[in-house]
Amino acid sequence: MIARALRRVAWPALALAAGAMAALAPAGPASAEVMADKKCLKCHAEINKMDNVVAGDFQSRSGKAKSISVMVAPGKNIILKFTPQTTVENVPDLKALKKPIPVRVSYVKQGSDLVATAIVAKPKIKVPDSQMMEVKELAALVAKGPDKGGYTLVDSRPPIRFNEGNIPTSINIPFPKMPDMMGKLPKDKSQLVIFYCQGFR
Amino acid sequence: MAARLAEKKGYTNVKVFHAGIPAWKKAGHPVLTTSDFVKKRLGYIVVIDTRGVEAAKKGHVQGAVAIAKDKIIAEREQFPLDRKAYIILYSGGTDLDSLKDISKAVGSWGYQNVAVLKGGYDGWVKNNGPIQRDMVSTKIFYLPRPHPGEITGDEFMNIVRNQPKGKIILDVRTRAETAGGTVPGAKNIPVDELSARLGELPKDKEIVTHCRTGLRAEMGYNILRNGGYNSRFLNDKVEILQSKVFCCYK
Repeated sequence: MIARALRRVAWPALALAAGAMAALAPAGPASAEVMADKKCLKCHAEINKMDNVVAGDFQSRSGKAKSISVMVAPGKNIILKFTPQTTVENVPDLKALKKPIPVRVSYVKQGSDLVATAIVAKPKIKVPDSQMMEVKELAALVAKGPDKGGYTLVDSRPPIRFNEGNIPTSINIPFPKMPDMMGKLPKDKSQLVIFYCQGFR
Repeated sequence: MAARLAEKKGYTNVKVFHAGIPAWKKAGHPVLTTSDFVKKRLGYIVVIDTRGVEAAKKGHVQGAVAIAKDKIIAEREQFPLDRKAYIILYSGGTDLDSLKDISKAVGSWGYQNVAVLKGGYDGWVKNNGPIQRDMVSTKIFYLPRPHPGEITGDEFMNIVRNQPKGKIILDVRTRAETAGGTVPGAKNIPVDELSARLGELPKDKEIVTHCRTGLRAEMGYNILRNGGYNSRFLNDKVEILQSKVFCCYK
């Protein structure tokens, strides 16, 4: 079991232990300023205790302005500068960041500017090979339907994403609400339950 | 993660479709959207009544364009340039089997947000979605949903023309760019200098930002807004041919 090959999987359905996001570069000069999307805080309350951190969905990047934009609340975007020293984790480089990948950015204040020191994209997480389902296998099940196929398909994303476009026959159980919504899973615990999410990268 | 939580609760046959929605779409499989989503985005999405004009005359989703399922491929030219536009297809009821091929075809043209309306027209009516009768459009019209703080190109042009006292046009491009000409009456502060130079701007006027594409204009708008300024931005492309000769477009 333990030796089983592990593969990488994306957020957010497979939200992982808070620890993965906690190991971040030290914050700059203290001014205990936190600007974090409530959505992030649901699983990462520790962000509230960190200094000089912006957390939310990545919005845009301008090479000319050497700046990025991060949404911390609906209609509220924070603009941060980046430098050649800014580190980027969990994506190959800054250009690989696309809207709306969740990011956590540590920054230092330089005059009136916020200068990003470290940008951490929401990490992919590991799922054992034996638990992975491929698109072909899922499509075959969906074609049969939940009764004949004997499965429950769960979309773990927030309702807005589910409503926008979901896999036919799926039900929506947003990950943070899961403890309260266990009743939506089949009574027979040996039945096949399949989870999916946005799978960003 | 959700799968682990289910296992903890005793579920013994738990799988994860790790590639998620993007892979599902990429493989050409249809996704369903809900009446709730379509209601919220009405006016800024393309909704196609695939039952055709005659059925649509008896009642259709407000703002939907009627193109019969077998005519959609031939109407490809009509589809919006913006490949991120939401394209919603519906028929009478939940009729996924009959719409999945057309959904796949439209997706193959590069549209990333094609979806079939769950429940179709019947479900829409049941969910109290707004409807129209008789007047049926057969021409696709697409307007992207404006970002918060976005100003229309028309209004921006009017401000440039009339230079009202209560507005300031702020060009947030670099100096190298502005050397090639600026919009009449515009003040220039490159967006990367803006937070340091906010003091140069008055708080009692509306500051309308623009750049070359809208990207930095939006950043400028956010910096101004976070600084307590009254601002909007032009989310259009701006071409400046010579000073005083320019145009803006989506």
